[in-house]
Amino acid sequence: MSAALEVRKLTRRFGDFVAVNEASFEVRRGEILGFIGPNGAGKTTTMRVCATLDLPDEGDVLIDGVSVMERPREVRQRLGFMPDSYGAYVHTTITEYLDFFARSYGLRGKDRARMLAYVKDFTGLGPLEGKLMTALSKGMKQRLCLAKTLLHDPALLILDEPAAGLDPHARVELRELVKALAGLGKAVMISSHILSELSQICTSVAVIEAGEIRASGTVEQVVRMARTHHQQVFLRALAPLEEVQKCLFESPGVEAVRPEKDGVVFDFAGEEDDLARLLRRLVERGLAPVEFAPKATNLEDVFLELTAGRVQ
Amino acid sequence: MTISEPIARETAGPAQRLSDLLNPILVKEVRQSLRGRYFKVSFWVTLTIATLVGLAVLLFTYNEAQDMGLDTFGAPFFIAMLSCLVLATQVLVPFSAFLSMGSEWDENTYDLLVLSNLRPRQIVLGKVLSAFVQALLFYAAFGPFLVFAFLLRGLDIVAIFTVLGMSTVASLLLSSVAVAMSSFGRGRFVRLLLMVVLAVLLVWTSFGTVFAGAGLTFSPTELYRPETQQAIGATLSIAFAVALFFFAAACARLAHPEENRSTGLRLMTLVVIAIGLGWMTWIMGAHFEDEPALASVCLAHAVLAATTLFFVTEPERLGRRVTSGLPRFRLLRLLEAPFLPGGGRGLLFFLVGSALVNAWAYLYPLIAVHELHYDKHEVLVPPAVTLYGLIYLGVPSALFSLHSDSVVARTVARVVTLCAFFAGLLLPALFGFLFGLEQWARFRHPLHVFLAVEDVWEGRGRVGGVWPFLIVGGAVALALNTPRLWRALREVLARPTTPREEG
Repeated sequence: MSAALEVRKLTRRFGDFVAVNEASFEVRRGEILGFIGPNGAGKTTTMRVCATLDLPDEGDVLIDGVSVMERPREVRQRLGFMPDSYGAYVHTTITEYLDFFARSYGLRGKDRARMLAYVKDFTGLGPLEGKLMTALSKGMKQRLCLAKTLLHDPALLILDEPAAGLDPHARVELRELVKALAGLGKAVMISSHILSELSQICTSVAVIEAGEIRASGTVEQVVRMARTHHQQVFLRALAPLEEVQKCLFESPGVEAVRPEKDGVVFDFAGEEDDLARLLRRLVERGLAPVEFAPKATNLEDVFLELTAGRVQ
Repeated sequence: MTISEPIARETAGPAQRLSDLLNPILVKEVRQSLRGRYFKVSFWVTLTIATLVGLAVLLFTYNEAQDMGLDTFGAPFFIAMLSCLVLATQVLVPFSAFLSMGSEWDENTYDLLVLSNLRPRQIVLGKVLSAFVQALLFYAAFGPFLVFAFLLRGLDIVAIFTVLGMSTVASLLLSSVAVAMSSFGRGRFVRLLLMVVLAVLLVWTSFGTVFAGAGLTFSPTELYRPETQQAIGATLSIAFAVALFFFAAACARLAHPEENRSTGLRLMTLVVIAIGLGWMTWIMGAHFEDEPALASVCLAHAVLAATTLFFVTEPERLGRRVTSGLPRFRLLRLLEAPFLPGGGRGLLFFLVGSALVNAWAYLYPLIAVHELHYDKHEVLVPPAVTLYGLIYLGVPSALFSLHSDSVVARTVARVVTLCAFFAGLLLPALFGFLFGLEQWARFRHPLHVFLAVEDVWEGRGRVGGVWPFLIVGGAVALALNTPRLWRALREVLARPTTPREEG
């Protein structure tokens, strides 16, 4: 089965400025891809190209196997895009707004009425249907935009900073909606600065910095990759602290050692085999390690590890 | 029902089926505008003004009827109502269309329109039709006033319907122009400038409609003269063609810069010229006359040059989406080349368009009166205007073509071309004045297009050096443009493989 979204060596330039440079990754149905990177990394540009709002200078993006370059209208029927910022139509109620997009996507007659009822129910907008768009809160506007992206039942959803500006309650609701959509077999690509939010819903991650993809794959793959760069390990041993610290400093791959609680925490660069060798070395030296635990790596750690915060 | 389940097909009622056929933008815009303050205020204010003006006209004509030699009040009352109606439908309504299009950028909703999967032409058409619906509401509201005017007697029913029909068409066409103008500029200053230009245009055409309406109302017999009918027909069809051109321009502006924004406009340019020349052919019929024909050739070249100014300054390379849509056969691609985007192909378009116009100029007399009909000077007018176009468009655009990817360079190229044209008129005269060249000081120099063409036409020889200038200038323009013309054709013929084809 082809990927719902396949980005192939995508390059986008603005004059001499390379906003995205040969980016490649993919998202499959039922998968939620977290697209993370610092400000100005090229996230929105990539998403806009995927959503047919912009065109690549080189490379291509395939949505369900259809090229954004060659058949943009067909692509738009297969994807729902929620931009990071968008305006509201004045003098337009929620129902009229959704009705407009349903008509635009070619939904006719009772099909349209049923779909409108369904998305309003799905996003919890039913009780507000007669309310003017301009009177909605930020959270409700985000729900409305999500409802709009669902009207034509797209296979892929691209959500650019959907949680920005939302209160914690609205964020939790949005998270549940996204999970529910992935459960329905949709592919979701989502960018956010709130990495703790993403870590709870993403099944895969692509990290972009300065227009280049630093890492992509399942969350486990990327975390493992980040660990090979750098990871923190907590060690508690029965031997005196000084001896433990001395041994660690002499060991390859250990970069920084600092005391913490009853033991030490050290930064380690290397594969898991190297870590096992280190543990054996500690035992052989008679330091009697009783706790040797690589600290859990979350998306925030991965992000900090893989990006240097460079902006273009 | 889950979102991914297929939706059951149910039979919709006739009203719903009719509603489904409507342009989505039309539905949205009508809903918005009828709820908005602009329409409500303009509607009630116009009706109030119409009522007051109607009363004033009735009182005035009742008191002054004898002095004015009027025995009925229908005509003055109708003109008063027409003025108010025209104000609403030809000024306020197109202006609301302008604001509506502009709001898509001001309110940051344009991306939503693109994502809605509507084609640019659906968006523009929806905006224009929405303005037309508003205009129809004004006509409906003015219905009682117009019936009352007819009951006051003194009105010809055919004249009334002709005037109202013309006003309705004018409203539709002006709305199309307003939407197009609104799409031309997204910066606030440019929009303000466009707004002023549009306001002047709307007021000017409104006066034109009212004066034409007054003429037909007071002299309805004019309507039955063939000349009047031809003039109305010609005016309407040319206005329609121009509005279509603006429509195509608006569609082009809404498309992404990498998409084909040029072919529609190039075709519409030829359509406008074809309609104009078609009217000339129909009016002259078998009675070919050389002067109107040559004047039409000059006017057609002016229209061609005005639009080509934008085509010759387009970025030279084809957008990727345009490239991927080129025909498979090389011959078709070659035939399509003058209509594809790109500065070099823009110059090619000018040469093809000019050749077509000149072909009309030579073939028409041959077919109509079986002889060329022009004297030995007149026969040189078409190639002369072609060469002037080639020089004035070809030289500046060739010089800027290396930087055509830059928006600034393109704008500068257009301004320089325009300035070169006017400098060509003035600077040699100034030079002649300073250095005692009497002919040049009196504007009789080859860079003065108007006097030079007139001189060629009449064969007086008062402007010296026209043909040497045209031959040398044309050769220089061709020499400067040959590389980019070659690249333009080669790019089209050597269609690169798309990423899909690469696998």
